Amino acid sequence: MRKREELLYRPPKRKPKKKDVIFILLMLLPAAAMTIWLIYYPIGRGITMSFQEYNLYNLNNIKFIGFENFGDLLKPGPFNAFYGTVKNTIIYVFGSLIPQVLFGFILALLLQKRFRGRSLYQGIIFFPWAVSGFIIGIMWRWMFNGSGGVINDFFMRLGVISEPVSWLSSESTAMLSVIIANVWYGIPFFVIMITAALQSVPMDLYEAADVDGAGALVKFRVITLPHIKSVLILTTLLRVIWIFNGPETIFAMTNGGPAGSTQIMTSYMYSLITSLDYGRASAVGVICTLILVAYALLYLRISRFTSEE
Amino acid sequence: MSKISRKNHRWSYLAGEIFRVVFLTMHFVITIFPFFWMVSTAVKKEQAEIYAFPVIYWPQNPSLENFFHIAVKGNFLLYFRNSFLYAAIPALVGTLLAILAAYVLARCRFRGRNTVLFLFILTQMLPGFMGLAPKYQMMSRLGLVNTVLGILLIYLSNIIPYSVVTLRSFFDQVPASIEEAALIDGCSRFRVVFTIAVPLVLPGIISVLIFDFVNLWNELFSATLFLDSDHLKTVTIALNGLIQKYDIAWGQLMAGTIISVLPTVLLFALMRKYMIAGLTSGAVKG
Amino acid sequence: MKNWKRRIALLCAVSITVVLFVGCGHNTGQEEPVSAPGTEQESGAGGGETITLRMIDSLASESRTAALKTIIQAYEKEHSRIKIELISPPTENADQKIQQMLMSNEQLDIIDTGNGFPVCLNNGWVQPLNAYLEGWEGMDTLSDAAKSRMTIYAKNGTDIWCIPYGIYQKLLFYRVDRFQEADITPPEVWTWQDVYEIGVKLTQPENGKYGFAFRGGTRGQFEYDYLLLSYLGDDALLDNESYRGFTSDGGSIYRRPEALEALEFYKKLYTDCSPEDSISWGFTEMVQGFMSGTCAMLMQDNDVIQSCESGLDPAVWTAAMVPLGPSGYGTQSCGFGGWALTSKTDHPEEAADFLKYLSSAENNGYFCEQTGLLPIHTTTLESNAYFSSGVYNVFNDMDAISEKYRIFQSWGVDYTFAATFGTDRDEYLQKYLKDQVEASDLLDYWASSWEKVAEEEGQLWQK
Repeated sequence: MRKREELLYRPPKRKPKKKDVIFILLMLLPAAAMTIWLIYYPIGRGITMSFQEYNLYNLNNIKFIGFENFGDLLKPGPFNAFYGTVKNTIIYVFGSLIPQVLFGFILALLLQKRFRGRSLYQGIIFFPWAVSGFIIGIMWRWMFNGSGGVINDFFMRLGVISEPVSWLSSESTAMLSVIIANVWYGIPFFVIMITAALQSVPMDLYEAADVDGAGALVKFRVITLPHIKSVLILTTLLRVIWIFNGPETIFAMTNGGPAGSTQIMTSYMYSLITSLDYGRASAVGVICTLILVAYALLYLRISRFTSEE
Repeated sequence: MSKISRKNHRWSYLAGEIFRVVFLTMHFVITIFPFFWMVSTAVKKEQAEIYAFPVIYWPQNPSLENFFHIAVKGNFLLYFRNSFLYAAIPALVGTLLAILAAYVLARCRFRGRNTVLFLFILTQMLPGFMGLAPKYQMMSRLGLVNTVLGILLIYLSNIIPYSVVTLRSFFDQVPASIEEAALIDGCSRFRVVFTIAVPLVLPGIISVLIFDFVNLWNELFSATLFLDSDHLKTVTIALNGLIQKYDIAWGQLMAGTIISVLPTVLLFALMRKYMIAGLTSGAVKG
Repeated sequence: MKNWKRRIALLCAVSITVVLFVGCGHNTGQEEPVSAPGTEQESGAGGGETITLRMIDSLASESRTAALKTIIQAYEKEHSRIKIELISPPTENADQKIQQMLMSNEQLDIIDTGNGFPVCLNNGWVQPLNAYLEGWEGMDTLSDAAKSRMTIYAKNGTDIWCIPYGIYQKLLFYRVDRFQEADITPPEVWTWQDVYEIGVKLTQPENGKYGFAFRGGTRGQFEYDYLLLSYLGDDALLDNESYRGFTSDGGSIYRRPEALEALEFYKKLYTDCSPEDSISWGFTEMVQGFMSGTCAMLMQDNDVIQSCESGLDPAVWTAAMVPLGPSGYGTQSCGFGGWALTSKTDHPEEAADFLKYLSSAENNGYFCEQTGLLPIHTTTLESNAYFSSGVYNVFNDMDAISEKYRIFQSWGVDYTFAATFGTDRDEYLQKYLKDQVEASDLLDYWASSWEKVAEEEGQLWQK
């Protein structure tokens, strides 16, 4: 990777000029300062809280308690809420991700061929992405409404169900409903990404394959897939982080319920904040961060790996 | 494609076409239906009509009253202006600052470069709620709570890391040879950045700008926490305020949502090309 | 080595910039709050420049904000040097915002007690109103309920921590139309068994019709606690009258056999009489379920009256007295909202003066009429035709047999872990309703959690 990079101002093995250093610092400083000041400093304070007994109910009684918050969270037992959220997070993240990738892929392939109104079509299916996650959640909650929602009405008219289903209030369907909303929200992202990646596949390869009489599936496997593999892997990894860290849709639709069946780690953290236990909330945050940092390292490894290829 | 022997592939081709049309149509309907339902709810005047079951798809007496209520009584125009300012200014300034940092991270080799880059990327993995309370206390000590400057700074910091990471990958993809030539010709470094490098990655910059704007336009949590006064509120706060103890004003909420998504949807639709170009390379090299 | 040096230099440069950034801000930040109120105070004494009071509402709604603004405008007209800024955040995050503001010493003079008041109290963010209320003529006409709520948080029994702006009391709302359809005559005096039996009769899931609007969502735990109190005999209560979560022998109330009976009954109400959706219902959804006719019965506070009046034909709904439990007692709540004075306010006199104005019989009556709360002055209750008409009479009926009703006191709020535990309780109650947790395990968990803190922290509530 390093060989391919085109670097300026650094002929190899030379003492850096003072001018270079100043230039680099000047350029980097504003962005770095803002990030350190308003992101890292508060988060650092937040991490400190995870080792404290920090309950808003009694601010006079803040003290360091080591790993007690983590211990409380991880203590097994029938009334442990944390492990459930880990399980839900996994279901939610991958349950949302896989259909998003799949449908995004199919749509991008189908949109490869030119047809009249294609760009209008692409413009319109952009729509979910321009709306905020919170509004998306509100909108789907309204549609999934158990007694009078439009989704129940639709399925009843089709004769699929005979009485309204409480989509968001039964543990068997709540997670499904939240995932459906999230899939709907995320498909455009993958359509865009994969469409763009497909544009980088050289057309002459297809033509050559046609001459050889290769079928569509073979062409897909031999030409398309290898060319877009890196985009696919990286967008997928990126998306995982966004889904993990974006519980707005869940807040708006179920607020983690019923009976905690849609509570993911980040929404659980927020519910701990609203119930005043900042220490334990921060502990959840730290665990989330550790998981995602592990993820980020993997992400960088793979990105280096794929660009070397 | 022209060389396909049609006879051999006729049936599979036809099946493929049918699948294509059906799939695209279904996806279109599913994508657009929630929007239709929003409009349908927004033009229903009576609560009874909104809650009717079986549901009413086409309202009997469509009325713009909800829109009217939101726009006139709800002070929505003011909120709209605020939202626009709070999104546009940080998006512009943030992109500018990000260009500087991204350029250096892409073009200059120095010790700790990867660490700096990693720290920008790492911000995306941090759960935002964790820093919210300390951030509030800090802003409060600085007297920046409930001020325009305060929210602008917070929004600025929200978007900078993402912009830096994405823009860096743009600069990475553009060859540096022209810049080298210009430098040898005696151009100053800052001039090289803005007259040569920036025009080359303009599509990427525009995509980042739009993406930042949309993200900030939709932001809710910081706005709710950091803004108190009515005249400083944003559209998202106003919409959230329609979810009340006594009733969720679905009609007004949907009317407000429709108004509030129009700018971003339009922006996305108009700038689609740039978005595609920008987002892809951002992810490829992220 | 060189590389290390460079790296350290970079780090230093970054940190210096950050320090400068933060440091500069620090100075201006410290100057501002000191100087601004300072000038205000001087001018306040001189009667020159205006004083701005900041007041935050926790339950903002359109009608409520409008009512408050009307009163504020009238007050500002009479007091030209006072300006009152009303902050109305979205209700969902309002309490959190209030706490955050007070914690950071943001200027707030008057706060809504909301649901998070114990936090404000415990952290010393509010001050007692006793001194400011001396000689207030409004005091004489306050109802007993209002008076008792003023001092409800007082550890010493006398501190007035807030002036209530309205009282919430429960009624059993029911749909006359649904009762007539099913040919059911409502009993004179209801028991919970009646509610259940009638509820079962009225439940037809295939038609989307149910008997009871169940609360399984946020704060659903208190519905269970209300129920439990109607199950308990006199002997089960601490000092024979107050319900404090513990029995006289120091054990948790959840160890009583009645706790299990009540819990099972609570579940039966859900499974046999209520929509499945209601497991996540809070206030809004319950009321909506009743208004739409989905649910025929609703236990809710008096503020629902207004929603019914504006949204329903008078012929289809009415309200009855709160049902009695197996113990022969019913549980009435005496919920309230109030305004409190912050301890950090620079203008306590002015803020208290406005509070008195806001709480006058006339203004409170107006506010309550607009928002559907029960006014705090007996004079309003008597003279205002609105509050002595229609279903409001049911309150008189209940007064007539007041010995049958116990008032529910919330007690857990004295303990630090209460808020977190409360969220947890709601969730596990839902798990119980969904057959994921056994009733006995759940009660044991609640009981042992409370017994543990009571042992560690002692008895924090006052009698």
